[in-house]
Amino acid sequence: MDLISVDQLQLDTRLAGVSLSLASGELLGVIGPNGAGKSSLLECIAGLQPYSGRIELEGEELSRVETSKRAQRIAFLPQRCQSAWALKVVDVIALGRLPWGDEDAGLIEKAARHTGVIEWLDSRVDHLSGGEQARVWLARVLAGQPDIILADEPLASLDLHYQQRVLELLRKHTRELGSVILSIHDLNLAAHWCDRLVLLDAGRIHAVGTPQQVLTPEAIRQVYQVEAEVDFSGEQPLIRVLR
Amino acid sequence: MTPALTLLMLLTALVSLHVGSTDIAVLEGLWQWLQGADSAAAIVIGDIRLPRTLLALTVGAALGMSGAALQGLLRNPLADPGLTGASQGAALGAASVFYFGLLPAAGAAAPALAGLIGAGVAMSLMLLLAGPSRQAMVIMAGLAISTLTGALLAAVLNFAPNPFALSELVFWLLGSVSERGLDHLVILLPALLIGGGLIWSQRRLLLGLSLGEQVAQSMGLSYTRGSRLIILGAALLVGASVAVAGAIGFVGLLVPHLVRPLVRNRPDRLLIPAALAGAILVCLADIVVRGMPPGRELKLGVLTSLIGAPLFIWLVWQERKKWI
Repeated sequence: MDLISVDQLQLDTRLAGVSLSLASGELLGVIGPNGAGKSSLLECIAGLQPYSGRIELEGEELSRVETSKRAQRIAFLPQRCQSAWALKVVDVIALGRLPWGDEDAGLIEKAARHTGVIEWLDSRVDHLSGGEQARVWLARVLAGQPDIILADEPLASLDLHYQQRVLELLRKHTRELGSVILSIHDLNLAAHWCDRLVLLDAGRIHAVGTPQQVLTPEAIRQVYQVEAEVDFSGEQPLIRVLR
Repeated sequence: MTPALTLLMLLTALVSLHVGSTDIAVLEGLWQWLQGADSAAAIVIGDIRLPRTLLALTVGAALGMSGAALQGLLRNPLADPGLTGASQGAALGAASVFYFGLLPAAGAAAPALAGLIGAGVAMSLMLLLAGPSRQAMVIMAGLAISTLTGALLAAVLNFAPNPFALSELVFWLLGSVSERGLDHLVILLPALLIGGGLIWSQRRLLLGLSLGEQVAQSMGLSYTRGSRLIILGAALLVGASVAVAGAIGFVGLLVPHLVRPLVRNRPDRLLIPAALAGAILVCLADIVVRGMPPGRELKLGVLTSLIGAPLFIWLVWQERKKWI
């Protein structure tokens, strides 16, 4: 059974007739131009938007799943994150335990170790750089040990080094039988890291499938209005915009 | 942290019972008062100093906790409990009693009771106006209702029946815990317990909101319901304290700032320490007021504002530096 299955999802003018599924251990990329509905899709699955249509979590309608249970299984990493208070890193990671109602020190330390932020546990999060903070936000999500991570453009404003680190961490999560839905702008990274891609355009699904099936020059022309050259023959896929 | 602040609060209360124009054995007077004796010591302690001390502590606790809660909810360190419109509503309610002699059955507690009702009405209007609110709307709606109730209060002052009534009202509005009895505590204490309880029940939401509404909601916390409970709780706390003691400014704004570093800036752990620190500060300020040379009394609310305003300017300066 699919972990998540979305059927005919509708959200005012932002999403129309979106259907997709997410399997265990899968890294699903959501791509599309600005305003295509990537964030809206993730917010619906995270239970943040009132939608029509169906979203099922292992066969059970999402709105019927108890909110605390939903929060324990599905974690949401928003596009922009900022702490209102000068919290210590350890307290930010502890926030990930809120759905469970505990502050399990072992799991907090494990999440910090996984993301490489263990040495900053006692530092204030606002004293870290943007890239370092990105790893702390991810550690917060991992501390909740969710089955599914919904990451909304986690790579935005990160340099190449941190982009790779964050993607590695998400991949690692799927290897441990978790699943990830990742919205992402960089088509080369999407093609390289994601198992499958969903290409959204103006709230509708343009294509779903493996990166090779979805990222065709024709689809890129239709959705992004640019001419592109696509090469999947090498070790890493290459998408180059011509004009 | 909480035990240390509790101890400090008890010490402050003890000092407050000692301070006054006549020298009196405090514990002896307290004991005699409890036994119902009508010795001078029993009267001074039981009828004057104990109510004054307890009121200062509860008013301070209510203001401190409501400030911590509202700053956490609005994610804004400069949020003030007066923002909800509750303060002005309470002032208007109490002023109406002074003028129109409403609620005669309530006796001396009538202004306080009317103040609580005024705070409740102002709060309900604010919530109605804010709708299923975003935090910015709460601030806007609170400001609008504060302005409306402020205008009505000014109108009441404008049409004062006589100069005596006007000065009585103005002095009451300046904020004080003197010349009040234990019957005022009967209004304030339940408000403190219920309002504090409502806020305390939402402490996980306050922590979750550190990273924003979306994150809090994604972690299974209900923002709409929780934020209403927090605002209702804060309004009860602020409304009751303004209704009993008039406007005592800056406590709700500044106390959370003083305590925040002691709880690693965690908004959920701030609530009780902020209540204790508020109680200590207002009680200390009242001790200073009583220690002033005899003559015209400096009102407690005036003193807290005189001390609070420069601290507030300093805070704004600190915030400004963050953005430059």
